[in-house]
Amino acid sequence: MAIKPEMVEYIRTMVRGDYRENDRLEEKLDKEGWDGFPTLLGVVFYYAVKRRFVKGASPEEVIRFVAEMRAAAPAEAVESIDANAAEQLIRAALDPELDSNVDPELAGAIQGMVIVHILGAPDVTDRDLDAILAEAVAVANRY
Amino acid sequence: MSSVGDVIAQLRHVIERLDRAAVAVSGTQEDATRAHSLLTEVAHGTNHRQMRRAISESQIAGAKAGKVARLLGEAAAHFSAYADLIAPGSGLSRGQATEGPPSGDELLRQAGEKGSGVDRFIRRHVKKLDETEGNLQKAETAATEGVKKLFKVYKGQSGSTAAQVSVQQPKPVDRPQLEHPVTAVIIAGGAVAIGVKKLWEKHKKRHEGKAHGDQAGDGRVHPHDGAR
Repeated sequence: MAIKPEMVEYIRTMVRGDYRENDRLEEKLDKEGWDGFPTLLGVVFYYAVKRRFVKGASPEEVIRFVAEMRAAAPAEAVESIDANAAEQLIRAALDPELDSNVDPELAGAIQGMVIVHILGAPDVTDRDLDAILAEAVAVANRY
Repeated sequence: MSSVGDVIAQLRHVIERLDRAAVAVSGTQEDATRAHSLLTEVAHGTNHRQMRRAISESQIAGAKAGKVARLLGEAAAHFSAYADLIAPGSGLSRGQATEGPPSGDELLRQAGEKGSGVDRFIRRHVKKLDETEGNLQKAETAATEGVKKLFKVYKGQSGSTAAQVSVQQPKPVDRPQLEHPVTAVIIAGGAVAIGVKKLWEKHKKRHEGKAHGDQAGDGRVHPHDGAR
């Protein structure tokens, strides 16, 4: 699967708050197709979670993180994210052997929110973001 | 079958056939992946239904073939382990079952059994290869729609309504850990923070026009703008 550069930029512009460019890319991808994007999103989500929880996390730490993330999100977005499902998906990234049963649409939204929250934090430099996205593309291209 | 020797001979035969099948399927996976890349390249600029379908199905074929090859390799490994159990030193331990362990098989085994965390996460929680092809496609489309809807909320695009952005909610999950006092405090803290956030947004709306411009320059809210 060849990941389109626009997909990478779609995530980068969202993380960096460049919404106009993000709108433009979304329109372009709507025309050209999103094949492979869910895999890229999943890989970026995985790396974001691993960055946030370098040494793993207890269930309480994951609960605290989800609460913090939802508090930082726009109110309307919070309503669309189920906390239980978000915790389940984050725990699955920390331990892929765990089971998860999250509706795909909700999973996409959760992954997006986690990515924006972790990688959009001030301590993540452009260089950090570049490295994560480059690694994510390399992995996603294998599928 | 009259002796342990006969059983071992049969096992050797089965393991060899499984290894050959794994290598053949591994080749199929490579072909499907190559076909998928070519189709994606050829289809650039077109959105024809049949091209899109060909791209999607070649991708699924590659993924499924990878899983089949891994399962074949695992089956061979289980037979080997059993052979070692009933006849230690029979020469059927993994790597000795065939005249030379196939390199493709080894690669697949490494990817499947010792794969990195990210691969295990993608296979188990994103691609979900045990799903039917139709479901996989639907799931991928739904995941993309989910993130697009969420980002629209962040971007505060006009026309977004609560009904439009609401994604399907799962059935409530039992949370026995809620009984734990520490967890309850954490969740209560999260609820308070969400309430504060809503108040903050109302405050910002009241002062619209006076607030500083965001990076988009169009008044939309960035997730880290005064969120905490």
